Amino acid sequence: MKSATTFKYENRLAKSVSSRGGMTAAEALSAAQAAVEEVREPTLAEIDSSLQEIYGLGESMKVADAGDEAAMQRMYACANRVVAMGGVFGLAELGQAAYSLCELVSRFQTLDRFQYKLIQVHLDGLRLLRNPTDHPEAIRKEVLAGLRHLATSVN
Amino acid sequence: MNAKTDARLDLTKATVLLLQNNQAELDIMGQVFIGFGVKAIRKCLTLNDAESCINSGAVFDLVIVDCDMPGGAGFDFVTRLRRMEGSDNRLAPIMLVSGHTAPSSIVRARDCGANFVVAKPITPKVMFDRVLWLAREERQFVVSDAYVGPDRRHKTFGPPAGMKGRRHDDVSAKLGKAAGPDMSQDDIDAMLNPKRAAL
Repeated sequence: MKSATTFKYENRLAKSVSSRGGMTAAEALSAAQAAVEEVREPTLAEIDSSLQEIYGLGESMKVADAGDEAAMQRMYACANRVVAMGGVFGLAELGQAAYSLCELVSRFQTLDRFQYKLIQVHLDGLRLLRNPTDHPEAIRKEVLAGLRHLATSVN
Repeated sequence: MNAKTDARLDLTKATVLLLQNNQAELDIMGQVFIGFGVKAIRKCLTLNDAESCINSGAVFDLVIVDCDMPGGAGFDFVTRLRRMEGSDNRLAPIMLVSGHTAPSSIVRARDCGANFVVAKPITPKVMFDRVLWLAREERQFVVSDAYVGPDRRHKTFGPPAGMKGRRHDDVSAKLGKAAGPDMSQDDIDAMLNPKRAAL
């Protein structure tokens, strides 16, 4: 094996840090939040579309009482989309529930196991956390803790 | 580091490449950087688009790549980019963004050559903090058979115990014989307790 070569290099992004000009953190965050608001509606629609697909996949798994590889992979991908988008528009807890579903599916795939009831509980959790203001914070936290416990219990 | 620091970012002249797995995430990311004042944003939904951008001759100041592309294609993209000898983009700061990370992907994320991995969701605050961190990045670049990218050691602890370092500047854990006379206590005090000089 050849030995590693190391060298210093110019970080092109370094010149964007300045003491004058540009934006402070507060200015940048305010401008970025305003810009992100422009995509609020399509993003929420995309989240709902992903959730509907997850629920549909869950129904087919319930009927078959099994999770075929393609359906599991699809459910994982949809849940991962909710992880990515949920927290941007005040649905952070929904994103955390989706993360737990990803963890569960990942463990099912890795360990070659399947229990529909664990999927079902996650789907119920997602439905509940999609409308967080309908439920007290204590309940939401309890639901999330329960989902995490379920997902990590598969080992 | 956090967004409460008084550092200022001027990204108006920066060119940013975004590669995301789906349109909605790409749009969110694009809006974040528009908000940060970036004028030149190349948004790509596929690897082919991103590779075309890289090969077009454009030089990017920041590359953001989705970890969640099918088959870990995002990791492969970063690995290829880091090995493009002669390309200015080889040394570009690269940030990976990741949702849930399967165990099989963790090592790939560490070893593909990206500067940083950021967990989704990508909120403006998270992104601002990380861009600032990347802008202040001073790690050296490493080229070896198995890895090309910024030094994965964020702190220099030397090679692992019992192993010989592979770098010319790795120092042995064994102490050699003293090369000169012992320092006097005054010399040591002067090093540890510097005083303002009266000129």
